[in-house]
Amino acid sequence: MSGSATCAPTSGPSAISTASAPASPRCRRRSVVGREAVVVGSGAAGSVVAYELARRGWEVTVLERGRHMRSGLGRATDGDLGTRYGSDEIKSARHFGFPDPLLEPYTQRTREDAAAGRARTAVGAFGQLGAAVGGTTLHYNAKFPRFWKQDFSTLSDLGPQPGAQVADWPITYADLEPHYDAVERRVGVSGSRAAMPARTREQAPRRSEFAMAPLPISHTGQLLRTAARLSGYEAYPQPAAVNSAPFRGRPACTSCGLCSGFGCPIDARGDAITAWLNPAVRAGRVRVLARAFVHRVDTTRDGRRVTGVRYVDARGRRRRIAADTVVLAGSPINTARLLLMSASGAHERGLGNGSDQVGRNMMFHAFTLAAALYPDDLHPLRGQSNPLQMDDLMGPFTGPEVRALGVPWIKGGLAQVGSGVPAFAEAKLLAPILGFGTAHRQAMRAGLLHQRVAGSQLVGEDLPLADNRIDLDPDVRDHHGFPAARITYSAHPHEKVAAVLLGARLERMHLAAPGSLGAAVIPFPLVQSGPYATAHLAGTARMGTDPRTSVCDPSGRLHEVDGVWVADASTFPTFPGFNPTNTIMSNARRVAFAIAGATTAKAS
Amino acid sequence: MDDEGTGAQAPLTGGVTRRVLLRDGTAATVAVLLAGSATATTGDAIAVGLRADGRAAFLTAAELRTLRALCAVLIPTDDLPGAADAGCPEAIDALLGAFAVSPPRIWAGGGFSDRGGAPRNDFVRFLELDRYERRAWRIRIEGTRGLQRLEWAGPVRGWQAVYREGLAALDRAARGDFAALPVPAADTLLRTSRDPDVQELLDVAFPHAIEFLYGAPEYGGNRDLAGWRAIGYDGDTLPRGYTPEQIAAPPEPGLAAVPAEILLGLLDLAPLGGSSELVHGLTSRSGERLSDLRADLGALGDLDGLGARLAALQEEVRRGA
Repeated sequence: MSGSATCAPTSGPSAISTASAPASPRCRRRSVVGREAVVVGSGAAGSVVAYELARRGWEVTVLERGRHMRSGLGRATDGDLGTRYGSDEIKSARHFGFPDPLLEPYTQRTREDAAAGRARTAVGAFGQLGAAVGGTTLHYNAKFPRFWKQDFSTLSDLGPQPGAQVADWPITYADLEPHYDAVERRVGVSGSRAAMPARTREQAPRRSEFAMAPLPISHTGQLLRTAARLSGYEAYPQPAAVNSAPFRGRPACTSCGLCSGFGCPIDARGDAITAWLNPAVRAGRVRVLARAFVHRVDTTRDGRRVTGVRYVDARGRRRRIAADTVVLAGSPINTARLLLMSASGAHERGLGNGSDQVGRNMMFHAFTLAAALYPDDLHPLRGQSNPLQMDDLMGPFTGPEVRALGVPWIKGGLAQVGSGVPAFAEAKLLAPILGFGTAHRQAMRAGLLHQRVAGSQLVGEDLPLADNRIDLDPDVRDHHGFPAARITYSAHPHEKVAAVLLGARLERMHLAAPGSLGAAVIPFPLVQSGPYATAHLAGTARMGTDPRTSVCDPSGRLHEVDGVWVADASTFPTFPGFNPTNTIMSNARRVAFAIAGATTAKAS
Repeated sequence: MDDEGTGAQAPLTGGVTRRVLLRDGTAATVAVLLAGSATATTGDAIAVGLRADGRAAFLTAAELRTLRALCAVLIPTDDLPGAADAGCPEAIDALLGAFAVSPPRIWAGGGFSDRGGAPRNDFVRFLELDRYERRAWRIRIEGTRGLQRLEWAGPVRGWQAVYREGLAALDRAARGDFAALPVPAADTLLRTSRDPDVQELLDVAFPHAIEFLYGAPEYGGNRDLAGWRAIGYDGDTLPRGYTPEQIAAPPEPGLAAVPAEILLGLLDLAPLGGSSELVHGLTSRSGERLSDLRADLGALGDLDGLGARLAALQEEVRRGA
């Protein structure tokens, strides 16, 4: 540790604070060894960057708009961190760990609404995007697959799609592979290399075995594994950042089944805090400011160099931190919003937006749900949810049945197999269909969703479109007075065709589930207009080699502004059909290496 | 500011006193009795909806009576308590009066209740809210009250006004006393009323009744776990969770033997059961209003036939029962 900076306290209890930052002007570098960075967002991406930079002697300030939910951060060992979470559906429904839609609304519309001149059709909460120290990883399902080799060269391999902006990644699987290895080792991933299908191992090769054996497979998972086999498919334990055995002082999962949307109160899930933030803060070079909402990135007058960020602190005071390295990691919607809010004379359309691509190419995974229905109580909530992965619907598919539907190719995604719905969520789903009274009561007592289904979800690839985008809502503001992020989204024919063809295969597979009465699918791209209620987001600040068509260079640095880097999934040029957290963390680690390397080179 | 959430439980204000009543050993649901001079002792107590003077937390005794009658129709009691008999009216009232006590009863504490083998119940210690959360929840409950500084997204009508004016409208529609109506008449009134105050009340109250009946009992509904027992639901099970044997256990009939042809009628909806992730996203995006849930589900395409099929299910189950 260089000890080269005087930034006030970066260890001990005050390292995590909702108070304002210690006056940043006091932070003066005394040597080129010690560097400083401001990281915006403390989730899957920001936490990794903070950890990696701190490891190299940097002083890092992480600004997080959400609250701090885990007591002992920076003091306790990972296994001794406290939690405010519980297996409590009411808490979860009351926006716990999420931005409150009354204070920080998102607005939404479809592309068709936009074309018709409608400014928005919905205002309020959006999907599952969390806001807390640790970000959405505090309540994610912790599925941890890797992207495949083929995902980095989709345009070269398959060609364009009319109406979409399909692009190759400027990096390859090989560039990410060492980071995948390191991230998985640190977060703690359960799985079985031997159980992975041959094509998966070839497309996502791994040098080492998983840190832990697979989790136990729920009964619904077993039924659907059989269904997959009968359909010529192969379901295998999905890599998950969930402990199947004690790992680094944290216990094994006890299979309560309340995963996605819930914090894990026994701490069996590897998240941004246990893997990255807590060790980084404990080592004494990282401080985390909770309830610090960053609304602007400042640059020199000519717009070429970053000078700091402005934020509103927990007490509502406007603050500024000087910085010559700023890392954006607020997730795609909010990273785009921040860049757009940082427009200036030198960057009239938004910071780093000479390409006019900031906010564009917003991608959500295109889910298709399927389930087999049973006469009996299968106890679908016993076991970690969706314990199995199936890659047979990954694609690409280029056959005549695809072309007959009007697109040159489709890519699907992995299917997560076996899950259930807890009671309150089920009751809410039934409410608008059945209304109040006896019908609702009897349907709940029949136990359809929390007892009698074995289901799966296909995590479908979503293509990047210029007009599926984030911009600033012209009218709706947040409680600080800043414009809300507006989401404009409609599915491309690619997603609809994939849902038609792959949804049918998924339904057929569920029909083969032993003992089932029937099966059905809900293909979201076909039945829902607008964005899906998911936490899987990518795009809005794509990386590439050409500044005319991309926002960031291959290392995540803004083409047009020195010192600003984007570390989250905003930089993804495409959004392959995998749960994204492993790739977000691994890519953030790659970006952190680039930040350290670039500034070291300059300093020396 | 309580930033760590591990501090001692803040005392309740307003002279609320608490005593714990354990109903049965396995399902250690707690309820609250009024006690003359008892002082708050351990964390194992919750105060649900009643102040020391015996009045409701926000509603008047008459309003609470009307709310009980409403809840009796929203989720009726059958052989097990429905919303009215499982504490939902008092829980709703406690929510309306959440800021009358400290900490406000918005979020139960983490990480465990004592239902899954934990030695003490952490849920009963409600969390302190920070400035942000306090602001949001005061607006949600009390509304923006004409204060321009709160109207960055326009005026918000708070739940207190929705309930107060909605319950008054119900009584008006029932010629003075909604609670005096026989249940079928009350049901008909609710289904046919075009009074916007009644409609808005239903829009908020039905999701609330659901929330409290099928949510954790520490919030005041689901008393004696009546809501969960009625539907064969284990609720929260941590830290114990399930053993490998329980995970691998063969299927059981479930509480209701539902005829296969009726179950098949439900297939449209079944896939939602395969995704707690999407379902959570959908229902959390909808906030607390039935109309928002309807809009979200409506976006899932034609579910029109589903209501009729489920009504048929209801008939079958009733005949079979």
